[in-house]
Amino acid sequence: MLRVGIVAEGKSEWFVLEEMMRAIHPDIDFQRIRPDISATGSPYGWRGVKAWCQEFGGRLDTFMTGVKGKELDLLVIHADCSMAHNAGANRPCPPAVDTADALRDVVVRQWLRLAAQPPRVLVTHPSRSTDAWVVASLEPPYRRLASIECEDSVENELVARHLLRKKDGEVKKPEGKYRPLAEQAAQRMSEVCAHCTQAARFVEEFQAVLAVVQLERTPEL
Amino acid sequence: MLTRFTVKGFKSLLDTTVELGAVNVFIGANGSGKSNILEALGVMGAAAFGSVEPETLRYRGVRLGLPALYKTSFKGQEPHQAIELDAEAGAAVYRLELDNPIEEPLAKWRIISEKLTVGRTLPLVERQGRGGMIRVIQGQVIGGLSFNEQQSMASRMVDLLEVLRAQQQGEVRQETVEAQELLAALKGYALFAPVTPVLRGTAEDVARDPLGLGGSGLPTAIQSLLNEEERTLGPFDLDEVWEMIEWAQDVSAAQGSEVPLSPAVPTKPIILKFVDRFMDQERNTLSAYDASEGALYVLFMLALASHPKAPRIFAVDNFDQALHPRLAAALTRMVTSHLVREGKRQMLVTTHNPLVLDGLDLRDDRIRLFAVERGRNGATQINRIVLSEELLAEADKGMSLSRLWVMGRLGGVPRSI
Repeated sequence: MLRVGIVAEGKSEWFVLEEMMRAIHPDIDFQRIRPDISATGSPYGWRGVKAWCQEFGGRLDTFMTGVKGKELDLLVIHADCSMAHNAGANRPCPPAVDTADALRDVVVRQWLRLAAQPPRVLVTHPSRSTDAWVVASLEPPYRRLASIECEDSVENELVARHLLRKKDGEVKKPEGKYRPLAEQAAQRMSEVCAHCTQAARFVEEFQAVLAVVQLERTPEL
Repeated sequence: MLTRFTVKGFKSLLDTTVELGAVNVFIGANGSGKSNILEALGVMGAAAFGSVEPETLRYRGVRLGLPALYKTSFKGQEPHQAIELDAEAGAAVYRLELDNPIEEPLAKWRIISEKLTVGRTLPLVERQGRGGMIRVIQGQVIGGLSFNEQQSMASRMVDLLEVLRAQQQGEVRQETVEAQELLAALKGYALFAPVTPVLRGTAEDVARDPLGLGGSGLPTAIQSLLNEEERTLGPFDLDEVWEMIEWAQDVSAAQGSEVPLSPAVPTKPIILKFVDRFMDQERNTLSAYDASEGALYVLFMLALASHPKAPRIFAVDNFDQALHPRLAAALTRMVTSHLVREGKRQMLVTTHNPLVLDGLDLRDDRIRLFAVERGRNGATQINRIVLSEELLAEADKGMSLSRLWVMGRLGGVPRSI
C-alpha cells in the first residue's frame, strides 16, 4: 500500500488528486494534511498552503518519516496557477507550463526554502484551476477545450450543466456531488491529459515516484 | 498485565489485534470502532466470570445487543458465525469462541471453544466438545469438570489452577500464576463511562464496588483514599490535585443534610462536599450537585486509577468529557505516571481531546497510543502510533502530538471534514 499526504488549497482538490492517483494505483492510504479545520487564519486557498510550506519546509523528512508504520511515500503539494500573480509567477497562458514552472520554483525555493524539489514531494499546479481537469472529462465536450487550462472560472461550466450549484456567488462542491465528477475525470484520464498539460505532468510525475517506491519494495533476488 | 488482545467477528472488529501497554489511549473519528474494542474486552470479562448474558455484560459496561448486532456483518458478506476472542498476558493465553443464533437468540451465548495455555506446553485447560466434560490437561489428564454449553469454565479454572500451582515450582509455577492473574483481571474488567448526573448524585447507575460505571460511589471511594494528615488522595499529592481544580481547597464525603442543598434535589444519602477557596468562610461549602463537573471527573479518574479495590484492568470511554483541554492533559499526565510507577493496573481510554495526547510520554513503551479507523470495507483497523525520536523532539517546535493528530498525520480523524 502507498501512503500519500496531500496539502491542497481546498477539499475538492483532495477528491480530484486522490481519484487520479487511485486510478493509477488503487491501493493508497491518503492523509489529508491541508486544508485544516480552523475558521480563522487561512484554512483554505493558497495562503494556507504557503503557511504550511513555510512552517514544515525545513523538516519535511521528519514530518514524512517520523510516524513509524505510517511513513509517507509521497507528499503532494497543490496550488492553483490562478494565484500565481500573488507570488510574482504569472506568465502568459498559453502555454500553461510557464506559469506552472514559475510557481513551482516559488513554492520550492521561497515557501519550502529548499534548493530543489525533494524526490518524494510532488508539487502540482493545475493551470488555472483543478476544476479544468473535471470539465475536460465532460460529455459532450466543453466548447473551449483548447484553452481550458488558461481559463478563469471554468467551474461555472459545472453549474451551467447543473452538476453543481452556486450559492451566495460561490460554487458549492460537496463531496457527494464532486467526488463522482472527480472519479469521471480519473476514468477519462487520457482525454483529460490530452487537453490539460499539467494533468499529464502530474500523472507522469506520480508514476515516476510510484516506480521508485515499487522498486525499493521489490525484494532483492 | 494484558499484553495482546485479538478480536474476530465482533461488531466492526473483523480481525483486529492490539498489543497493549500499561496505559492505552485510543483516538479515532466518531463511529470508528474505539468503544467496540473496549466492549469486546467486556464480553471476554463476562465469559471469565462464567457466562455471557445481559446481566454479566451490563455489569461490565457492554451495551446490550442482539447477536445480529454483535456479529460482524459487512455488505456482501455472510455474518460471522462466531465471535473469537484471544487475550494474552505474558505466557498465559485465554481463547474463547462464542456463538448465538441470529434467529431466535438465546439469553446466554454458547461457548463453542475455550482454552487456556501457558508457555509453549500443551493447553493447560481445554473445553472438549460443545458442553459436556472439560478436562484439565498438562501433558496428562489430571481432572475434569462438567459444564453446560452456556457456562464458561474460566470461573472455576481459578480453583483448579490453585491446585496445580501447589504442585508446581519455579518457572512453571510462575506461568500458572500468570494464568490465574489473567483470568482474575478479565473477570474484574469493566468499561466505565462517567456521567455528570450520576457523579452529582442525582441519577441511578450500574453499581460496582468501589465505583459504579457512571461514577456512583465516588464519595465513599474518595473518603477512603483521603489522608488529611499526609495531604494525600491515595498515591496522589492533594496539593497537586488542587492545582488542577483551582477553585477548590478541600473535599470530603458528607451526609446530604450536611451540605447546602435544596430539599427539592433528589440526591444520595452520601455526597461529596467541596470547600471553595474563594468564597466567604461561612458560605464556602458546595455539594457535588453544585460543584464544577470538571472536579468530579478528575476525582473519578484519580479514584479509579488508584483505589485498592478498583479493577486491575479498566477502560473509560471519553474520560476527558467536561474537562478543559489543559486540565485533561494535566490529568492524563498525573494518572499515567501513577499507573506506570505503580505497575499493577492497566488502563484503556478513548478520547476526542487532542491535548490529552500532549500528556502522554510516548518515549515510555508502557504508554501507548492507537489510531482507530475504518478500512475501505468498513472494518475497524487499530494501529499503534510510534513516533521517531526526531519527531518527538519537534514537539515543542510546533509539531506536538495534538497538532499532528488534528492535522491528520497520525490517522484517527474523520476523512471528509
